[in-house]
Amino acid sequence: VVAGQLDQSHPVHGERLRIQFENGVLTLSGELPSQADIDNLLAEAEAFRPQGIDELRSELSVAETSDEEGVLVQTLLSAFEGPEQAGFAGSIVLGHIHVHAVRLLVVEPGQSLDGLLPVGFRTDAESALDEGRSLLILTVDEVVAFAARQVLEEETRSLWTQALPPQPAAAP
Amino acid sequence: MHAGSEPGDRPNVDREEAADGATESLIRRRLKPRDLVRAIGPGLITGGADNDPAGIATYSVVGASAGFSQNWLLLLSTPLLVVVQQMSAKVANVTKGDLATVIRTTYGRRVAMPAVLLMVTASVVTMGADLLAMSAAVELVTHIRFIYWVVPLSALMAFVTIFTNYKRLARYLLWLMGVFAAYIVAAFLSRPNWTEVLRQTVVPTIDLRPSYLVAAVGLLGTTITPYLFFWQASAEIEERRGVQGIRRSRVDIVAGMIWSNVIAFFIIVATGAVLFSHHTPIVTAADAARALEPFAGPYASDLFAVGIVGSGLVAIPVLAASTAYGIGGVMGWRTGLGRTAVNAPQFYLVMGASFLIAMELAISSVDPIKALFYSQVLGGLSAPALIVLLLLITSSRRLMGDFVNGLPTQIIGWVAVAVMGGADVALVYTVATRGLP
Repeated sequence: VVAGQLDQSHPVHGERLRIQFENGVLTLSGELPSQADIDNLLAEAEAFRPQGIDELRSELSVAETSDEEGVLVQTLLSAFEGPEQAGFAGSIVLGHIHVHAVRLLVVEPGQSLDGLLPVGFRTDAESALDEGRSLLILTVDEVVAFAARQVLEEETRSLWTQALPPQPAAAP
Repeated sequence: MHAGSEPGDRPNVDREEAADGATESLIRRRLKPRDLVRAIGPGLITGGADNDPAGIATYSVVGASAGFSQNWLLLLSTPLLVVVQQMSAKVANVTKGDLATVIRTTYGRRVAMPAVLLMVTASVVTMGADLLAMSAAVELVTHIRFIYWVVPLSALMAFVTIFTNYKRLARYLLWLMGVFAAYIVAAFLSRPNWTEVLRQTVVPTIDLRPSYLVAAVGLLGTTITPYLFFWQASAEIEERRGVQGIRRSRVDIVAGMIWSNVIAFFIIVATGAVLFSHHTPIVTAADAARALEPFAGPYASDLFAVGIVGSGLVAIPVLAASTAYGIGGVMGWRTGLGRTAVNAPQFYLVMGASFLIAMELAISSVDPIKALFYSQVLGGLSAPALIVLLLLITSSRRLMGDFVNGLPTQIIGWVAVAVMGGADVALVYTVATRGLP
């Protein structure tokens, strides 16, 4: 949270992110997924310059990856207490990882899972729906599936999360 | 449906290739030299951590007590170790979850909790033994009793683990482990009977005496060790290789595990040639250091101390982190060495607690070498159950899809269970009927 704006969300997802303010110098450090994420964060910090920041120093870097986007996709399945939480969680995940979903669905109790999930994953999903819970089915590029699962597990009120095996991108 | 389908950027792929459903074929590209260099990562750190102070002590005890007669177990354990670590990595790269989380979401907490507790118990005891070994090694150089070094070293290790970027640090610390290459030189200078060494490496020797069986379980337990399964999976998560990085992950793991077992082999040969041939048992760290005398002469103790401290610096954070990854995964907490203590407080609290317990164990232990050795026996006793879980997960087409285990992996995995389980059963039976050696 930059400049104590606790009421605003700052969906920045990265490694060892740190903000240090000393003698008028604001230093941002850590690894972010892309240069665009770095630019966005620096622009956000730049906006607070009039509030006592003399110098803005960036020690941010782009996290190394050699994986190709668009080759594989992966579907994540999460259970939530209700449809609102599931829908909100979906938006939180996409906000964090800054990508479009290949598929984003919220399934409520009473709705059929036919054609939505492979048979092997339906037992847990149907049990959750029978207990009055809702499901979030989110398909994303496999490259960002690590971050998506992490956000679902750790940053939302998901009851559980499972990952379907990766599939070719053309046949999600 | 509450929300409809939202088509995003359509992936740009060869649709004809994708349509055949062979997921693995899409990621099978030839590794370039640049990929090979970049492949080196968690696997090499895992290999380094596998030769922790307890491991070095175990290999030294095995060499001093059984000579070269257990070399065949080391040769046998190499492919088993590679396959088990590769399965651990695959769980993470396919499911995007760490091992404890995947066990929990697949089999529930009732299975995940005992599995993690098995690993945590063995890991914390090993941490205590490692701290003790580092202290004993420092005593060799400073001549100040080891017991006074336990608390400062524990504090140093806790600081390194919790407050530094361990992933970066470990890449430098691995160079310290190059000290163990001295064992390769020492093994040659000690002039063992190489024909005998080779024969005992390829021809199995079966002995049902308790001392032999304890040494065998200790050797297998320090080589194929439970905390490394959890560490490997969690390290892959932090590395974020995914299934596209599975081939790089294999190269990394094979390199790390072979390096680890090559060093183990030469430790056994050097100690076997220097100590077993003179019927000298290892009772203190100074005895263990004597195996380096053919190479380092009067400086053997100093060299041994540098190696033990270096291996402890690499391995103890791995042990502490594995404990925290395991408990964090079962409880659904935020985990990761890539996070700060503020962002993942429970993860770091568990690590801190594991250091405190390990330090207490180290202080209350009276015999460092025995503590080191039996901590590895504990690892050997708990490993088979965890390998079975790994095999069940990675053999499930539901969970792994096209990345499900092939037949060779299945066979080698079950051989690992049979070998370790068999040694455990033989040990328990022999100890029950004849008592501890």
